[in-house]
Amino acid sequence: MKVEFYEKVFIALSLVMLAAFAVFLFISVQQHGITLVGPTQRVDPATMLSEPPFDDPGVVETSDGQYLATMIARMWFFTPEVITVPVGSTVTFQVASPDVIHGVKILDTDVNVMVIPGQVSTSKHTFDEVGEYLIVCHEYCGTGHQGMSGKVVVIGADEVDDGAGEGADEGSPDALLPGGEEIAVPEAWRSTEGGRS
Amino acid sequence: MPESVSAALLAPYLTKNDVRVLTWQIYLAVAAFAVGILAGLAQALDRVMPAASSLWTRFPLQENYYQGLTAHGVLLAFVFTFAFSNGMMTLVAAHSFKRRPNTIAITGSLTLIVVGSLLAAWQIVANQASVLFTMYPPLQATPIYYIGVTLVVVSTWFTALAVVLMYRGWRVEHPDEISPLQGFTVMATYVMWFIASLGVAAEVLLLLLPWSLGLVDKTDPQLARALFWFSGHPVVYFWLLPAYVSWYTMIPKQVGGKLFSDSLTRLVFLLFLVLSIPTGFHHQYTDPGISEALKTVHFVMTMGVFFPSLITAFSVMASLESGGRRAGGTGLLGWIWALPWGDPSVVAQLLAMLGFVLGGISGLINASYTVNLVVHNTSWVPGHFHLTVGTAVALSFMGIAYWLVPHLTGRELVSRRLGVLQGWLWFIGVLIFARGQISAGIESLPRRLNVSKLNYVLDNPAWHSGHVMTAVGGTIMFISGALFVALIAWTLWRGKESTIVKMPVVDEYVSGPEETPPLLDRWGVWIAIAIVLILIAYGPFFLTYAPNFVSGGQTPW
Repeated sequence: MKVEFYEKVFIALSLVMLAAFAVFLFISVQQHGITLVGPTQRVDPATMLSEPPFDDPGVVETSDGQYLATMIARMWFFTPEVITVPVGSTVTFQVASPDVIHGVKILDTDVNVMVIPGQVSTSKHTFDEVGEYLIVCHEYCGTGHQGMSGKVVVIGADEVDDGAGEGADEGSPDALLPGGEEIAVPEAWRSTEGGRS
Repeated sequence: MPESVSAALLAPYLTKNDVRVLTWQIYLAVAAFAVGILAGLAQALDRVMPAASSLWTRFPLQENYYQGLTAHGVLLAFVFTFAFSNGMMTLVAAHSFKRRPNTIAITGSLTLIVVGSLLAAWQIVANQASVLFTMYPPLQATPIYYIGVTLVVVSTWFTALAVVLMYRGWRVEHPDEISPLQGFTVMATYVMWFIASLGVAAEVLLLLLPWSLGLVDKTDPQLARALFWFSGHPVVYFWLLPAYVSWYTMIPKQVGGKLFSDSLTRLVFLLFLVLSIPTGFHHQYTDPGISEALKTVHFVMTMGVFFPSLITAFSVMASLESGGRRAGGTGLLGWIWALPWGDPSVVAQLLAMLGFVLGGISGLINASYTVNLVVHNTSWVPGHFHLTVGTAVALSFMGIAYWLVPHLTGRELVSRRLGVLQGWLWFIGVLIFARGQISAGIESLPRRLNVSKLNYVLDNPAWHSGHVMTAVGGTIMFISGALFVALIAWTLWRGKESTIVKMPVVDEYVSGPEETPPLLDRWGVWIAIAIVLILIAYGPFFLTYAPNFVSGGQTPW
């Protein structure tokens, strides 16, 4: 096979570039401790709401500065909707869904996981700055998808007594439309087990 | 059906019926495109409408936003692309091997895709299948919808059969020759896709359909996603490779240039055959049920599958330069202006290539799993793929249609100027559209979002400017797409008759087929390598994954 000189040069440069991308990625993974979600535990969507840990969603401090946030993602809200932690906390999120696939993305962090029924998704982040971090569902989960959000509130160290580490709101019953109108969620939408035929 | 002299009909190996069947594939593609972009316009306008506005509900297929989005995805990503490929690629193989396509195979392909599209469309219109084109369970559509989608996929298998039979027939008569280049590239495309499509076929036939029929109560959403993405990444190359067939083997002829290398062209298509499939987990970096180690393996393979596209950038650009220089272009860049910018078929494809540069770069970013945590499932992703499938593929297909429809029907394109304008409009539109989607996506705007009903407000200027650019760019794309449909319809109705428009076939090479080693024409070896790589990439997952059938169907629309 005859390969022209310029093409040989281009092929060599292409291979070097792609290899460099891979090497840089692995270096940045090492340097910043970036991890991807992987298999941890499974849950049964049908019974998870009445079994630990998802029967009692919320935030607990597991050791100094370490928090565990247990969250439920469902049509079309997160429970808890608001997670409050003091600045500098490292929060491990464990999320599961009792209905369809959802997503969890927390703005300005690298928390980005799919929430797939039957699996528990975990992700960890250290919140070094005071402020509110919007949580959005980023997978289509039905007609109320655009109403599904929550937030992480990171408060200053001097405000800690005001309920940090609490799920301040245990979740609203239904999603809200812009005007405050509630979207009623008919029971029939919840499940059609046994097929539709 | 216009009864005029078609250049396709002049080929001694094609019958009137063959040409008619292939032409109807192209008509179906254009019809699906027309409806699909109308749904797309509604989605673009949704970005800038006040919350109380109900304008978008006046569009067809818009009982809710996600119904229209399902129609948009299914009609454009499956029906438009598959039907166009069925028609065009069968024709290219027939011309290349100089053989008649098997009647049962091509008629079967057309029948299945028409019936399948109608069944799926019926269920979407009835609002029984707002599951989007990814159809992730536990979202559950009706059995008829899944059957429709299955038939659309199976129609491509019938086309694959037609292609393989033409190749076999040619090979029997030419046992010791290197196969003709165009036919070879079509073979590579369909061999790759046949293997790749087994994932989604297994998902629908083994998981979704029995579950939707009520034969089983529960399904496994994680397993279904893994099977979907087994096909879901290679389908990108199944969309793209017909455009590559044109860029490598037709565009050089259309611009009066030479193809750089016969053997490297074959190598590129074979690399797609072996590397397209073992990369699917890069769509699932954030899935909990797949190990980080396997995601890393798929990341490395994904870097590998960029390699053939980089060679393509070199080869195609070299062809263009040789054409431009022959046409009198001088200097470092002067050859660019000497290219035939008045030819709508060429212009659309040159602009499609430019779009693909941006699409490829944004794809490289998606595939890098550190940055993927920033952009996964944000509007960045549709920004990216409207540059790839939405431009590199769709705009190339429009450019191809500008010679293909006259070739099949014997009707001359009614206006070359409007054709050129159409290509530019699409390109300008997608640049604005994708810029909006991408910049808002970097700021975490979720994809697949009914923005006019957005319930959480973030005072983020990147979101607001992103919405405006998405709406403006999307509207321009719609105008361009509508102009394309109108030009094709007008050509069929009023195009000048009896014009011989031949299929462009490259016939000059810097390094020709006589230099090609026979190894590049040995299918068994390359298919074996493809299977080994798939086993390495997917074997550990499918061997160790314990099924988890936990989810009943949900219809939240």
